Amino acid sequence: MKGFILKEFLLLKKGMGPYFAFLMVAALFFSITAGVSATASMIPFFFSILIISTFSYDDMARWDPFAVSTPVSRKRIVNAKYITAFLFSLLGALTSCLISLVVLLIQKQPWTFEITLCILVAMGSSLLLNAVMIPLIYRFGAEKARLFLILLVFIPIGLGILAQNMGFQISVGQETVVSLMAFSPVLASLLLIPSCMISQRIYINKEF
Amino acid sequence: MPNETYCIDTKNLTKRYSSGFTLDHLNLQVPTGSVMGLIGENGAGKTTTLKLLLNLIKKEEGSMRLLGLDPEKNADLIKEQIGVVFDENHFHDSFSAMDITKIMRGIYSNWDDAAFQRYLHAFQLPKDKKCKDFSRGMKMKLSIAVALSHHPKLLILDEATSGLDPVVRDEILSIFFDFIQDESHTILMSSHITSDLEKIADYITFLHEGKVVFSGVKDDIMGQYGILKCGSQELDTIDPALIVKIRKGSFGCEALVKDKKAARRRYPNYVINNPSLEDIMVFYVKGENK
Repeated sequence: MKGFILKEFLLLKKGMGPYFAFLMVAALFFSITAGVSATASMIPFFFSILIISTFSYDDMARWDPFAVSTPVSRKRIVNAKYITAFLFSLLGALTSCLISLVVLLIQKQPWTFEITLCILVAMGSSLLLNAVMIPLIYRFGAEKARLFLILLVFIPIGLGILAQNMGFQISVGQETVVSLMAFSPVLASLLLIPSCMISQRIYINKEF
Repeated sequence: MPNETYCIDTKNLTKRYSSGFTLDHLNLQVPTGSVMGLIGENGAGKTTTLKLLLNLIKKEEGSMRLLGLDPEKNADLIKEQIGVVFDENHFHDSFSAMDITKIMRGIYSNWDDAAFQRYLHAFQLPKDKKCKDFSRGMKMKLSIAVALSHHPKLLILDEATSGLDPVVRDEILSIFFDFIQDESHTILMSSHITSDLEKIADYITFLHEGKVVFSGVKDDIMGQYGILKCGSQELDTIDPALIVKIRKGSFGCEALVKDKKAARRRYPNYVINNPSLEDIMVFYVKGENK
């Protein structure tokens, strides 16, 4: 299974190298001009989408028939994807921390709890996105699943705006909200487990 | 790993597709230490057979044993011992040979870096060039290098020499010859290039429309069949029991006979030629019944 995880990181390095450089420069620029918090929450999200790209690369290479012919079981092939998705999200959070630190040092600003929360929520959201998206990718393929990605992003936003316009309010204490936000990576990680089980079931029944 | 007479042993292996094609109760025995050639026209069921053996698709009926083990219970153990070469490259375009060796090290417990480097050197494959810059022959040699570098007992090759020039095919067949020198090694090879199989195979199985037409020792098959040439009227004098299929042309007829020696004894005045595997295949697919 190690080989499959390494494969994803090699794809990341080779396929996304130039984009990373651009992203880092863009993130630095927007952090300085638009604020650290906003950019800090975008970077983990970007990293989480990368796992979708690895599925596209696999499809282009027709990798799956070879993968299934190796001694790594289909379950473990799926596990490798989920472990990689988690590691990508973690890498995104760490990158976000690093860029935020650099910008704050340049601006001689202190680190705030708000920035920490933004990064945690971003990581939690990206893990939640992966928990929903990856089974869809296994079921429908990377290209069709991208359409679901658009729906997954815009439907909650749309529902939120609708609820606000209708005067719908949820009474939740600030402490509860902050706790949920802070623990969102842990909660979302737990959702990866049933997601992984669904994906395993889909992949085990696939024919190549 | 059990010491088995048959490296591959399938009984009534069946796969049905919604298109109507069925791989129909395949009984295939590949003796350990041999090269089995799998021939048949496009859509005959060759790739379906190989995919069933590799668990890429699910069987509907029947059973199989690979290397003496049940694939449903010992899939991981079996696949450690199988090297697979498909008809197309399955490595990502952005990977080089060095990237691939790093990946394979984490997949196969028997992966041998030194062996892979030796194959790269022998095949003159660059270590750091990306796969997308490889020619088709280079990609095939890379696949073979990967397949051989974890010391498998069984090689499964699906049209591994298709689309390659004669020089590269000859190189690749030499590699397979070297592999099979170890009596515990076995090759199952599907190919349209029957001349390659005539050079390397010990056994031949011919699939047609999902069924086995014949399966046996290559030399016996080649020694058994003959092509009898005669005129249309003379064809009626030939015993139908001897004839497998006939082909009628503008200038005469050809009949594929199953017992060449008997045919020569009974009809000494007719020309009876030795057929190639390709001739036998074409007669079965395109020929008519008498």
